[in-house]
Amino acid sequence: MRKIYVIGIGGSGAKCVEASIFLHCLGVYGEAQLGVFLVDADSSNGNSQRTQINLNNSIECYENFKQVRESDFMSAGFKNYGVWNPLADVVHETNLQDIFNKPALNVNSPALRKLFDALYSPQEQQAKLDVGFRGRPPIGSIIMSRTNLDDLKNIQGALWQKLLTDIETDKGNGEEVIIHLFGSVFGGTGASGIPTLATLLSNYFQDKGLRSGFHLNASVLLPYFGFEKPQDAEQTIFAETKFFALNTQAALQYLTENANGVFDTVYLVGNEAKENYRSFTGGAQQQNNAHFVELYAAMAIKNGLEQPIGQTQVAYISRTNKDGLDWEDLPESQYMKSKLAKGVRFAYAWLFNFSLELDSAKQIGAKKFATGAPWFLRFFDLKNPDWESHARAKEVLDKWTRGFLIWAQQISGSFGQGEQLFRLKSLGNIQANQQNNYREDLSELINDGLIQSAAERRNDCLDNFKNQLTDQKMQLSQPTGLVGLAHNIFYII
Amino acid sequence: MRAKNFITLITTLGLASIFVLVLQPHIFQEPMIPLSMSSRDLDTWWSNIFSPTTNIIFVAGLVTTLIWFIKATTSKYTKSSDVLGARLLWWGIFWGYLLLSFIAFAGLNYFANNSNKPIKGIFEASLWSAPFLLLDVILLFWLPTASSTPKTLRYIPPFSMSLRKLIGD
Repeated sequence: MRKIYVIGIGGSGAKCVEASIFLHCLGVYGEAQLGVFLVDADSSNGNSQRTQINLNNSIECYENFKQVRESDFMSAGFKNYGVWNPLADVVHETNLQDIFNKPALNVNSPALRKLFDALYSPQEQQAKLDVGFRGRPPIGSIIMSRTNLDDLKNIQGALWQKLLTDIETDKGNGEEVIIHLFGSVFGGTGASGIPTLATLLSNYFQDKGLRSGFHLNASVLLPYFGFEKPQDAEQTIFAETKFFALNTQAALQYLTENANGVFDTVYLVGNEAKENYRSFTGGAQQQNNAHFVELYAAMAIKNGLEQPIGQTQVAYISRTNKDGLDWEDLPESQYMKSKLAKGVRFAYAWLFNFSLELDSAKQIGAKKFATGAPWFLRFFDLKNPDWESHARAKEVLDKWTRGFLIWAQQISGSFGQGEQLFRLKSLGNIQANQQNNYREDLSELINDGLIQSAAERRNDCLDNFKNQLTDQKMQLSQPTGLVGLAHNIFYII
Repeated sequence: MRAKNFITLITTLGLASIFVLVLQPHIFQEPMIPLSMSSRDLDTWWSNIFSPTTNIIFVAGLVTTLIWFIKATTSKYTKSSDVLGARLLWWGIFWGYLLLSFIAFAGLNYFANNSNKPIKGIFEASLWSAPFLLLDVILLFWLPTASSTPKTLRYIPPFSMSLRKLIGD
């Protein structure tokens, strides 16, 4: 089995990982295990937390729905390595002055202290780093460069030990391994973390004689969003849009000069039109909507598998129309459209119909319910529907489909005023609007510009698919129960 | 509509038609039931009352079944509770059909009884024929709808779930 290790560095990196988790759930990466490792100095960062929530939901969903091997939905598993905080070893020191013990530098190495003062302003030296690197690559770089993988690997039970040991074991077992890093180069954590960690990983495996056997790729995010001064308190050191271009230039220059031989393929993804996010300096409030740039970044994993190892190359992709995003703009557009459209249609069908129907069945009794829902008979025993054993799987799938639809809705609304790829704006607040909000029509969900006939539109509805579920003999190994129902819906929809 | 539903519909309507149009006249005209009326009165009762009534029931049966099938084929439902609401429609059609059959039968009986030449033994014949007319209604409406209603309304006719299981659907 193929092993994919994704490392999300910083908030944007975490959001790319979120996209890759959803793509993996839909079977985009084929039969592979997705190992997820997040790097963030801000342990309460909203983007990282949301990715963790969606990862945990996906893992739970996989555990409940993995039995059906013929279905692409939840066909391959995950491994969660957790969130590594590069400041974890200096939790009691909250700023650069403390971490590098400036008073001691004054005594022991005045020249070094002068260099420290030259590189970092007093505000930067004193800025509290419990909210991350504040969009400042120099702060991130000095922290990240302290990292020593050999030391980290020797910390028993630590995240790096698990990750590196697994990669080495996979290579030893002859598995196909790909390590893919995600992060922005215009902020703090990603810009400093991507080159540093990639170099450390490459050198680590070079020393072990394993480097030539796996892909080490990265999706590097160029500026695609902006924001004004943070609204939270009197911050003096914070991420500022005006520095993004400078940060990007410096990071790309660094990559050009130093990354040759480190990466196999680097994907540069950005967007000319910047999405405006509300600004917060770290913390749980720093939770930005998903963006289609992150979807592109996550799709790069698949492309990276097909690229040669050991020939550093850079890939970029562009849209055909600067005013919008079409399915044709995605790499392997037909394949991606089939997967993503199926995922959205499935999640919509489940959350806004089948899930509510199962609640209704439990309430009014299986036999009465089945009179009005012939599909129910195909999957459940009327005398003993066994609600208890299905309850957990239903709860898990509800959570997953809700998370996925929220993500897809944010992707669709991430460019200008209109909707891209999907039409989900009409769902409103998905978190709040599911209850008693039955939906039926699937014909308007996918924004593909295809003109359907009136008959096609009329037939693209859940009532039709329910009749297909009832009438067709499915070729799945687990055709019954809630698990069978979900896979059969995914199969036909 | 699936081919299987269509074949079942044709088969059940064919069986019902054979009973209503072939077996039932045979039962009354032989007669295979103990009627005390003379053969002349029986012929008169048959041609003036029972035969027109069964013809009306037969045509009405085909029409009501057609209405139900059009409804079942063209309607779309979002949720089970909406589908369950269609039970009211099925029973409405059924009772309407039964009422029409009763009115036709009672009306023809009334006019025959009040004509210049009343038919002797008409009451006895009517008593015997009433259950058969009810059976006609059941065979011409319930049987086709319960066995072959397509799509989402398939289990709305009463006992359709058991019947369809019995015939392997």
